[in-house]
Amino acid sequence: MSDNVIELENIRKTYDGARYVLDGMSLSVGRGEFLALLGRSGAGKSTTLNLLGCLDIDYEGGYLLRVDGRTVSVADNKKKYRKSRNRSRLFAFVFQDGALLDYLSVEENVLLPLHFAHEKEDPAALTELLRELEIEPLRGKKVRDLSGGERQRVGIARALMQNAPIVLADEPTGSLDYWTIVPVVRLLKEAAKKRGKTVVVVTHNLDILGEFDRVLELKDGKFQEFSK
Amino acid sequence: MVISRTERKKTGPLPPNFGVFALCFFLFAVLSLASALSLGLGWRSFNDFFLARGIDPERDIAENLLQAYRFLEELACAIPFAAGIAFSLMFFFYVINRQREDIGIRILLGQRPLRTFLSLAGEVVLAGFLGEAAGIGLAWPIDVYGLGYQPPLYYLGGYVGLTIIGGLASAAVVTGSLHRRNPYRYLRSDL
Repeated sequence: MSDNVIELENIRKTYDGARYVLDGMSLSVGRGEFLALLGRSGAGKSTTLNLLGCLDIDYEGGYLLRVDGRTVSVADNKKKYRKSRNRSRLFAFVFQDGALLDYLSVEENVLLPLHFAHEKEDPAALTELLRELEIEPLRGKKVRDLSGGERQRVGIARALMQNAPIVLADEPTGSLDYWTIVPVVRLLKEAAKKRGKTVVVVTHNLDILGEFDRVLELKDGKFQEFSK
Repeated sequence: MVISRTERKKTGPLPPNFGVFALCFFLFAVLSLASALSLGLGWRSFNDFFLARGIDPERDIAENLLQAYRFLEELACAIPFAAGIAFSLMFFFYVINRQREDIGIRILLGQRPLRTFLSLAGEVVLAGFLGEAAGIGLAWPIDVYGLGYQPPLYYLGGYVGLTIIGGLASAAVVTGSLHRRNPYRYLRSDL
C-alpha cells in the first residue's frame, strides 16, 4: 500500500466553464512530508489548497486520503467532507496573517479547534508546543497586542494543536517581514515533523524553499518539480 | 497580489456590505425626515386647510372620507416606526458585516452550524433591539407630542416580533451560506 496520505488524480477545475485553472492536475503527498506548492498569481495554488481542504467541492477527478489506516475517496463523498465537523478532523489551516480572533488570548485561540470539537486539551502538550514556538510567555496576552511574527506563530500553534493529520498553509509568511520569515517556517517544519503531521504550504517566497522536503510548481494547470 | 488583513483595514476598499448599510441609513434618514415633515408641518397644514374654510374634519367630513382621514393619520404615525425598523436593519447589517470574518474563522476551525447560528443570532437580535430602542425613542415622542396621538400597543408588539424574526432569519441565512460555501473567501481579499 502506498504511503501517500493525499492523492489527487486528473483534477479539472474551472470557474467560468471556459478556462480550466487546473487541467488534469495530479498530486501525491507523502505521510509526514513538508511540501511547498509554488506558482504565479492566478496559477491555481489557492484553488488547489481549497480542493485539498474540502472547502471547494466543485471539481472533476479523483481524490483519495489515507488516514488512520483507512483509504477514503473524498471525491465520492464531497458533501460529507465539506462539513466543518468532518473537515476539521482531517485538516488544520494556517493562514497568511494567522486569522486569529483578536479579542481572545493566545491560549484561547490555540485551544479553539479543540473546544469546537468538544475535545479535552492536554495542558502539558499545550505548554510544550507554545515553548517550541517561543510564545509560551505570551499565552495570557490578547492576540491583538502581538506582532506579525508572534501572531503567525499562534496560528501555527493552533493548527498543530488541532488533532488533524494534515496541515494546509496558505502564504503563511505573506504578512511577515524579511527577518521573521525563515525562523517561522523553520518552527512550523520542526514542530510538524515532531508530531508526524503532513504539511502542504502554498507560497511564492523563494527564500524559504530550502526548508522543504519537496517543491512543486503549478504551471498550465499541472504540477511539476520546481527548478530555479 | 495578496493583501494582508491589516493592510486592508488601512487602505483597502469599504466592506462589501457597505452599500446595504448605507441604503438602510439613507432609508432611516429619509423616513425620519418624512415623518417629521408630515407630522410637524404637513399634517397641521392639512388640518388648518380645512379649519380655515370653516370645516372641522372630525365633524363635517362624510363618514367614508373621515375614515380615510383616520387611516392617513394612523399611517403617518407608523412612519417613525418604519424608520425605527430601518434603523434596526442597519444594526443587523452592521453586526453581520463586523462578524463575517470571525464566523469564517470559526467555521474553518470546525464550529458546528447550530453553534455558529446561535452565537450570531444572539448578537444580531440584541443589536436589533438596540435599533428598536432607538426607533421607538424617535417614534414615540413624535407620535405623542408631535401629533397628540397614542400609537396602539400592537405597533410595539409587531415591532418586537419583526426584530426577533428578522434577526433569526438573517443569522440563519448568513450561517447557512457560509457553511455551504467556502468560508475561506471571507479571509482572503484576492479570491
